Amino acid sequence: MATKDQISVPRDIAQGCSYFMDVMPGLMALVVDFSLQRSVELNKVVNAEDFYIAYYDLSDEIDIQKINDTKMGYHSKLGMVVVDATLKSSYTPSLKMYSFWLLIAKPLLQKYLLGPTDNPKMGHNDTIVFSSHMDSRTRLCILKLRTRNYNDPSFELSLRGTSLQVFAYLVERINESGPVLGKLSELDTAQIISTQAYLMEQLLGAFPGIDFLSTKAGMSISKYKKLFKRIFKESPNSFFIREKLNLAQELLKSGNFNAINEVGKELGYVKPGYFAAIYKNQFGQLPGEVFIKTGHKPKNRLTLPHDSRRI
Amino acid sequence: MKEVIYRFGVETDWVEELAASLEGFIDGNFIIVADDILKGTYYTLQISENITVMLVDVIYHQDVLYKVRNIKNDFAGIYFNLTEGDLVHVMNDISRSVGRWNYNLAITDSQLDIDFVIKSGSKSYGISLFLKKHILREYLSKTGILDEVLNRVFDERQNTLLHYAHMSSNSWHIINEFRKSAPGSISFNLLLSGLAYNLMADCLDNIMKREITISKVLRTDLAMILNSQTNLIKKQEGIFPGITSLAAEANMSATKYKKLYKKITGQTPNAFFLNNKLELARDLLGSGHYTIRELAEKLNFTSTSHLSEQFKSYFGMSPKEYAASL
Repeated sequence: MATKDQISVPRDIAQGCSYFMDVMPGLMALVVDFSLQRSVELNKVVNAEDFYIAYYDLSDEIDIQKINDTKMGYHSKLGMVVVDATLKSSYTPSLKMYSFWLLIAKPLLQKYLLGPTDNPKMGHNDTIVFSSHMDSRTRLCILKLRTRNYNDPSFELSLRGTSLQVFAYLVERINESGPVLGKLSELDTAQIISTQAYLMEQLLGAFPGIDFLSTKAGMSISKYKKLFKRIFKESPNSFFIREKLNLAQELLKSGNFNAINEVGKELGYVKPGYFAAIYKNQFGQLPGEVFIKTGHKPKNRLTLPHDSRRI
Repeated sequence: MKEVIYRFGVETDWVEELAASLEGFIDGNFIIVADDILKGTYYTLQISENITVMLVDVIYHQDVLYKVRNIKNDFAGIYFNLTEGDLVHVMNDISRSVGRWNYNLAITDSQLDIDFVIKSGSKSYGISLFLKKHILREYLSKTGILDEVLNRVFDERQNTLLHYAHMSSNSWHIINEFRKSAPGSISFNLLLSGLAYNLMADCLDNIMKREITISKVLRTDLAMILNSQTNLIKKQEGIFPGITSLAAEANMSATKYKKLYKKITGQTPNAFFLNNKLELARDLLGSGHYTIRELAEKLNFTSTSHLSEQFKSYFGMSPKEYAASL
């Protein structure tokens, strides 16, 4: 039986776990795949206080669905979450489809955060929080793993290889962005992450406003702004605009619009000049350079190298 | 020529010896070698008690003769060599070993003594995995290879484990992706470990598909064939000695000789002889001291057009085009 500070793997965090593995001391990998119904005997119990959880969801992408002839639905999701395992209630992963998990012992991660002078980059109370898009290297790795058959004798080797690769990429990202300084409460973190998720659902409209968001999170405006920035290293507003423009880019390339102005309007930008300017500010090119008009075939999306599909 | 005698193993006690015989020293996972011998990255990492990986990404500034003399025989080596790969077309700085074999993937028993020369100017890129035999055996038995077969293959008294092949294009992609990471960076050891496991997974897949076959070779037979091959290299300017004479030299019947030769080197003696001759022709052509006609004569081709024809089918361009591109 798991107590409050323990997580039992897999029942607790990942019902429907298809594969579990100790990759190396302090690193465990889990695959959750709902295309495979399989009961995993192993029910490992670890002390949550000693671990970070990294969660990768392959359904992370901007999804454009046609609802009817005139209306489109958009769905944009952040597919990568990394938090202290005690903060696991901060997010509710969708246990649909396919996801990949790493459980990382804190001392192990700490080892990879040492600067060249052996000065720990991370203080005792500092933590790691990520809730963002998966980088494409990680995504390709996991996509490749997904094409593998669990019954292949090489599956275990390949899961081990993939886990080490994904962990290495995570280490690189953490070293780029740095830890979140200071202690975080579970409730506050959960609230901040849930407002971030709310923002992701509102990308077609205008920024809901700090007032609204802080009320939603049950905090004062100043606390909300400070905490959001501490965790995500940017303000709620700039996060919102960045994600809005990511969506804009997908819409421009989707081939569902007759004019760039239509995309701007869809996202609530009334002045085409302003839309073009902030778009260029983020991507370094004008919307016109990526725009694909209705009726023209969209360019191929990122696909796996030919070989990796061959299993 | 610089002579380097060294040994490998899963335990990394040999690294210091290798560094010493290269007149270098160890710095963390790196072996630092003086620039006048070679320049680049020499890196070893023990991943677990059963697996060690070595990365060599260097340019040679001297001819180096490597002599592998292993002491331990509890491991096997899996060598990926990207330099000689079909997919890398480096014309002038390809690394050429004595008895240039047509392979870029080798699985060999630690008991095997191997000598090879790497010429000055060669660019060498290789990933070597050293695996405890019992682990290799465990993986192989999962592929459904029968125990009796494995017993025979791993019987140390008679057989030596050996296989040469072309690496799969998947392995090639895996290595190429890995090459983007900087040796010594914070995530490098993780990526190198990941690489080792991914490459092992791919090897296992290919064994499953029977694109790699693990087979047994009697050690005495192997020695004979390697010896025979060395003799062929010595005679490479002359005409092909003929199977009968080669087999007699190796104390075998012609049938057995041909079969074993193919099994070990993947080529017929004749093809090996011709390919080496053509490599030599290319080198001599590159030296600028010979015309094509002189070369045909020196290397005992029946005619200039015969040389041109063979050269073109091997290198994809005629000797004339090659000389012009120098």
